[in-house]
Amino acid sequence: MTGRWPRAAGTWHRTISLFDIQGSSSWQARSPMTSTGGISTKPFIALRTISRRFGPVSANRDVSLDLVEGEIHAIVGENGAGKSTLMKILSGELQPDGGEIRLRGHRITFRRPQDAIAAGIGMAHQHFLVFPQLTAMENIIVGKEPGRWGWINRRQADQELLALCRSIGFALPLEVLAARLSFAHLQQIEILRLLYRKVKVLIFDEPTSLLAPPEAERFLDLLHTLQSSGHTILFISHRLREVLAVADRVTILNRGRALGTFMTTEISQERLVQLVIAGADAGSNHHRHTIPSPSPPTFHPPPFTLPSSPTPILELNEVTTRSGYQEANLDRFSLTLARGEIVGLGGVVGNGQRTLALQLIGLQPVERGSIVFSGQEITRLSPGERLAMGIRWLPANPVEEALLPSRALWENLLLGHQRQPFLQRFGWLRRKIIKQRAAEHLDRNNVVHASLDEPLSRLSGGNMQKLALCRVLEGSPSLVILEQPSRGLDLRAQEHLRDRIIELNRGGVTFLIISYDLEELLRLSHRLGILYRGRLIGLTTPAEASHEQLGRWMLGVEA
Amino acid sequence: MMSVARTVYSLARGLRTVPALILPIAAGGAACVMLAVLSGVQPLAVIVAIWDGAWGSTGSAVTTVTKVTPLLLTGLAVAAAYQARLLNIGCEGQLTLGALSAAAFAVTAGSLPWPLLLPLTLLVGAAAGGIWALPAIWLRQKRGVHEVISTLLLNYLALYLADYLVLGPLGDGTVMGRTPPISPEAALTPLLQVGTQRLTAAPLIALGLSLAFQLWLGRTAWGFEATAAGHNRLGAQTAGIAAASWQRRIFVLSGALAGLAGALEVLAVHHRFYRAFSPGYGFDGITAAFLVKATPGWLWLSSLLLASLRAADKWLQLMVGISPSIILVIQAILLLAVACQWRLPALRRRKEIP
Repeated sequence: MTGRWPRAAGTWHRTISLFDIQGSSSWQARSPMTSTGGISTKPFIALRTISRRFGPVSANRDVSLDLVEGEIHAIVGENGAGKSTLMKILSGELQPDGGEIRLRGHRITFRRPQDAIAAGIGMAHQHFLVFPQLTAMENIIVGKEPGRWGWINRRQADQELLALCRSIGFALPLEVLAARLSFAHLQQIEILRLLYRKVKVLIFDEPTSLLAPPEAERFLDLLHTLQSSGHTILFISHRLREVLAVADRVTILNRGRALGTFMTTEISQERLVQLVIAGADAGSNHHRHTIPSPSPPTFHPPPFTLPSSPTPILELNEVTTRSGYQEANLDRFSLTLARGEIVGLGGVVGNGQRTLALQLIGLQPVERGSIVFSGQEITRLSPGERLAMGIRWLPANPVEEALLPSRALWENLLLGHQRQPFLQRFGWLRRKIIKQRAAEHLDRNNVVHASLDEPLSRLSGGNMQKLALCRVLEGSPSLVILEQPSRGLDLRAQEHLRDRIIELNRGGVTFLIISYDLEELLRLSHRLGILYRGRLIGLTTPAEASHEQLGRWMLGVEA
Repeated sequence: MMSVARTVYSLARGLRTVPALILPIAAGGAACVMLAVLSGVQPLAVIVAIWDGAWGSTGSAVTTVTKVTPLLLTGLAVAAAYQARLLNIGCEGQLTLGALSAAAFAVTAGSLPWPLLLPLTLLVGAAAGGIWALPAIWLRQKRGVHEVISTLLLNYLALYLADYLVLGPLGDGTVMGRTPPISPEAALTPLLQVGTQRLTAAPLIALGLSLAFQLWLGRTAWGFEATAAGHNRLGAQTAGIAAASWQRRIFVLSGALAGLAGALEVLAVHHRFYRAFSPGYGFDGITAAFLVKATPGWLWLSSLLLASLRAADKWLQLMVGISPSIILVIQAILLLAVACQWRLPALRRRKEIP
């Protein structure tokens, strides 16, 4: 039976949809995983030699993966190893160039995510697509509203969702507008959307990366709850410790290939790290790949000690804001950065990190308090004036917030420098010099591009990020605010970025790094602080910081 | 030698805009043929009549070129606003008030010598158009009112205001709805006169302005800032560009260009202001602009095309006996085809980017 979905939808659905064939109860809970023999019996979902290219880049190369019903299966690998692509193929968001997906031995084809959901496979997204003006309940049922003749049966929806919430232990306020909900609640909405659509195989892409440690714990418990109610879980994670704690099996991807699948009970964390980073020999019972292994990253702390009498470069004095949107306002926020210092700021998403960045660059008005830069008050200065003083900002979404996607690469590198005396003469742009400079910057920052004239939108995500970083770091800035700087960068580019930051820092550049990744902050900063509801709840140094302490701060527990 | 090659190359690159015209023109032609067949007229006769009406004799050619001026300038007004991603639908009102103020000024200050009077009159016309654009951009930036709505409504205000002024304080005392004739000092001297048709420097002024604006956009730091603000407002702001202020400036400039179109029409063609003197030049400017993807440097082509159609409508009735409304239908089809064409890449771009 190779009927293509959805043309043969009717018959296909009737014969092998997950909802009609009850999964044998023996697969439930963690029982299948207690013995290694469990795996070989019958693959529930089988991905066979899946390949997918994006232009010249092979994201997946002949990847095969078996899923056992009722298991928790983790996917690990570096940035750009093809994890997300593989998950998007399984959830119908991308179509493979080659290979096939089999569900209980039957070949299936998903043309769009709805097809996958109809077959019982769904992916919870990292970037939540919520309607802020709708309630939590409406956000869940949207697209599959109960009722008829265009009328929505709210009572039925409420009852169904309440039962669902109770069964998995969610305390989600269904009647509250999504705009007022926390990040963790929005994640619950995303999960409930899938469960409400009776999805049996749940896919998560780095579900815990933006959660505070205790919330992450709770999320891992949820995975067990879902497993015991008969769901199969597939999740991508960078946190190997949690992978080993919660998953039954783990598959390692490296440069688009699957290096192998292991029982988590049979592999040590060291071995896992080794495989993820080096992509080395994957064990005797799996294919061997000869891949030139990159040198493992060196996690050296920045070689810098604060001078005994530091000169402040940036002082925030009791800054209070009022116009924050979907983000906490700053509440009497005070912080002083010494010249030549790297300060990291973390916290759960939405606790005012972004508001702070907007304040510093001058895109949002300060309600009360003052900002002093190099001894000069800049509270009321425009972004242009602040840029001229050497303040640079890399926003979290540079494509929307700092770049011109429809314009040429050289124009994107010119942006913000168009008035520089050496790039124009009496207002007339000196294109030759501008393009030369653009080419130099792109080469120095390893931005892979075909021509200076191609529009920015043709670049891959990682290369756009590199270009955005290059705009921020080139041209002798004195204070650089980086929001999630390594987003979308692969390991090598992250290394390069870290080297650049340290190099610039040695030259006296001050950095303020905003990130939701504690590891990144611990690696890079001289001091790091946690924001909670628009306040700086704690400030410490990486040497003194403990994960437990930072986790408490992230949840608003002082001391 | 290199620079010649580079100029030729950049011109060739600029030509990429021209294929954009091919589909609309083909669609317009097809519509023309269909309508002709439906009305029982030889399709070829209609097309020949359009050509003859527009370019058949020196007189008709002069008429056609004269009609290019307001179309080119209102087209430039729309295209300019679009650089900041704003839509100025209010050119008709701005043009009317520009024409009226220019006429009124040229009547009252008629004693000035022409080297002073002429530029001042044009300036007054442009200023009136620019001022009429102000409320729209103010409402947009302070109150979030979309400029399409506000400029559209301002058109009616402008037309009735002009009616009131020309029938009252600024009129010539008759009920004709016109101002007294302007001082001959202010009128543009004809370069060529064929019968009653006069060819002045007005089309050249319009052409010069459109080309200069194209250069300004592509080659200067200010033009770069203005288009950056249009392409990604937040991105431009992050880069320190005063995006809101650029949008204001560009929008006022757009109104001023439409006002200038009205002033030139008075100084070059009518030599006074008449009620409803414009057959919808302001709206035709939208078509002219979007036929060439709002590229100022190519506006002369689209406005020449529209002017030819406009100039041919009476001839069409005379020679073929078909209603001149067919021209409006063709124009509407042109615009529809342009709109469809703009959607095409979006449909093609459905494939996801990694």
